[in-house]
Amino acid sequence: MEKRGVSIFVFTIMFTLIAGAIILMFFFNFGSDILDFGDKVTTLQNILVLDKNLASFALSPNSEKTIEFSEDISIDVDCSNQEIFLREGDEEKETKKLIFTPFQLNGRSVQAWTLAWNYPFKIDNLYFLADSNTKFTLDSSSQIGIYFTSKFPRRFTQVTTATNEVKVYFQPTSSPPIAPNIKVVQFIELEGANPGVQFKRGNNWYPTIPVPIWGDAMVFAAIFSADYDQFNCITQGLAKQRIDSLIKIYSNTITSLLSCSEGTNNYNEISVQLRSLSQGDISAARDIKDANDALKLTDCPPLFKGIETERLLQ
Amino acid sequence: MNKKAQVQFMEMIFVLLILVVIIFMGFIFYYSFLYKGLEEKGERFTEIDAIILTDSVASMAELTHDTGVINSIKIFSLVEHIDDDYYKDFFGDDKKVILEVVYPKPEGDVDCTSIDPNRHFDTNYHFNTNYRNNKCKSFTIYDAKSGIREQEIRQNPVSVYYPLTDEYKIGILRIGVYKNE
Repeated sequence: MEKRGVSIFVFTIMFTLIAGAIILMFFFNFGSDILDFGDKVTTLQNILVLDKNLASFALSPNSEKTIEFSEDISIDVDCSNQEIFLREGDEEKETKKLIFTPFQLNGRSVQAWTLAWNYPFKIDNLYFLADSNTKFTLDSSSQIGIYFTSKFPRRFTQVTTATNEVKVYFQPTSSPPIAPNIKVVQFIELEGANPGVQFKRGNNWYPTIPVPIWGDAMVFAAIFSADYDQFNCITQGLAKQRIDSLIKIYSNTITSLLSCSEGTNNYNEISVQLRSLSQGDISAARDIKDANDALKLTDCPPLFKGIETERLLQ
Repeated sequence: MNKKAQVQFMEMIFVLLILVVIIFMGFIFYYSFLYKGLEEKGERFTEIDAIILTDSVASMAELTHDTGVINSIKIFSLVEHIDDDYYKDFFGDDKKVILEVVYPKPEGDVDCTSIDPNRHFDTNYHFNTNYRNNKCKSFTIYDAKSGIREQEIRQNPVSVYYPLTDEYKIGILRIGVYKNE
């Protein structure tokens, strides 16, 4: 009988230990799952807060604001395979917004600016983001430099505690600064027939043949991407897709407006020029704008209402 | 085994049983709380998604005539290309977006851009027969038709422009989401 009693006692101890370990593991897993879940939710929330704030001020053709977060963020805006992602840690969300940012976004707030991209009709809003560690220095030693500097929000240039910098030259420069935390952008022939942009890579300007600039808003897009790969990925991917989509929409809309006989010639002209624009002929934008402006003088509805800046519509 | 030992053994089995039941209940509570939390967060995220979509649609270059004003003719053009991958990604695979004209009331109650399940849509017929005669009460801009139950989660007033008559009307942009339960 004594032996049996001992064996039951040992068994009870063993059982208690095993059961205790299982319960402990259960609560440990529970706690760690809750923490992981909380982190994932917060990260997703940060990304959604950014996306929501950008969407809400897209209604304006030119608007700027500070986006606040509930905690410190580290969000990357990354373009890969011609798709744009908002990424924080392991979480990411694809976005259909044309977002340009020179460095990773860190801190509790982000400075944001949106600008309608018209060429010659509105194609989309462009979004420019930077954190409080990034400063933009624009060379305003030329007339064109003064023009673009005057349009550039001061919140991006008057940064006192910046560790990263984007230097912008509106005319070719021979001695740009070189440092790991400085990105340099230079524009070529901004007032000429073939405006383009180059980015500093190592000791050289890249690409050798400047990337063409389609409208004023694209100048700011180049400044905010400050990197050829990112700029090229967005402009050759989503931005190009947006132009193609809008050309299709307007080509289709013209057929519904053709019944207005007074405007037939202008509608037909726009139709022809839309085809040229779809093939990359930048000069077609000017002709589309002129034909659309001519429609405003008739009783026929113009194709689009957008007001386009005269500059860079060669 | 004497009676005392039998009673002790029975006690232990009983304690074991209760312990197993408690652990089992713990698991049930744990997963039900986790599931409920996930569901609530999911709903919240869907709502934020709908807010983002509402604002994005109201500023979409394919639809707008001016800031916050939807061009009614452009809707016909957009619907012709709505199967493009870009728009599927833009609107999402569970959304429905409808524009309803509320004032002044149209003379008909036709949904002029509704697409049947076979995706047959005659733009010219609706445009010439209904749109030109002010019979379009609503315009289905996008319909994923991906679930069995549709729940409207957001509506926004918008201005609707009619280029042929140079008129402005008031409309409501309705965003719905499909659910499978």
